[in-house]
Amino acid sequence: MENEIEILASFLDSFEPEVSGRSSAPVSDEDAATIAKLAAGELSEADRARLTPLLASNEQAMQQLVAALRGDR
Amino acid sequence: MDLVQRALAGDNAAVVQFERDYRPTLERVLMARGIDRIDAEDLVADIIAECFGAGKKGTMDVRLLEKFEGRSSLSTWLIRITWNRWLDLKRRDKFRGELPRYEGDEAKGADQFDRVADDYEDEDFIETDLAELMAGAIKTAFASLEPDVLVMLKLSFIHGVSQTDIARMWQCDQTRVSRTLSTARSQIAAETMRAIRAAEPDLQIDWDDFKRLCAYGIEI
Repeated sequence: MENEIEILASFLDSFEPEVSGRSSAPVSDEDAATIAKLAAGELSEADRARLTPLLASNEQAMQQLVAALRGDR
Repeated sequence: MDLVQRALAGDNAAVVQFERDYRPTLERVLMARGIDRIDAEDLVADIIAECFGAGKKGTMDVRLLEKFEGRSSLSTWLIRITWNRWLDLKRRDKFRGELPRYEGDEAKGADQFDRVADDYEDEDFIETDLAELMAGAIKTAFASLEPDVLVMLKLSFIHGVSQTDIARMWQCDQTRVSRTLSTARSQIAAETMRAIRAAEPDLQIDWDDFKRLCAYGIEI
């Protein structure tokens, strides 16, 4: 484990969702499409502002973004 | 668990190994916080004695080590106990001079500080108190960031996404991403420490200690 943010996040992840504040609710098709646009660098600032709260709180949404980024490379 | 089982079964070599493996670590954890060597050695000696049933008030009904369930590493569990004991001592200091004396205390040889200790020496306190305090502080610190900054931070430091890719998504230059991440890291450190001090003013923990404890907590 190399950086402090990863250490903190991993420590937090070792707790139940109600303590860590994370969610793994399914991502809607509409949100998935928006995530793909963000990964492609095609999302407007306003749409990004609407999407980031979901990415910040939902691990599945974040994983979709990371997967889309890896697919884009 | 093997070392624990053998030590509890009375295997002298296991007891010696347990003490050799963990005593110096626990003492270092305390001394890193500015606790002097004598106090650190005394506190750790008490904890190790209790692990094998030798309490301050005589033989314990349940040896401390029997409470270890293997839900975390042994070192994590022992460090949490050590820190919680230290917190307990700090709380006793806070109460010093404010504790009520009851009629007959002297005749019975009752120690008013033991009354405070009894309030805290339950299993839940030992298992969860410090860890939950730390988790709450981290959660508060992450929540203090704007969502887009938190997402940038997670992408960069947890998922290994390059600053170039983040800049492309955010349609900005990489310098702005770099500056945002640097500011966010500082904010996380400051907010975490602020939350810890708000919840536990007597716990004079610094950022390096906090990170070290988190690392112990996730079983490095």
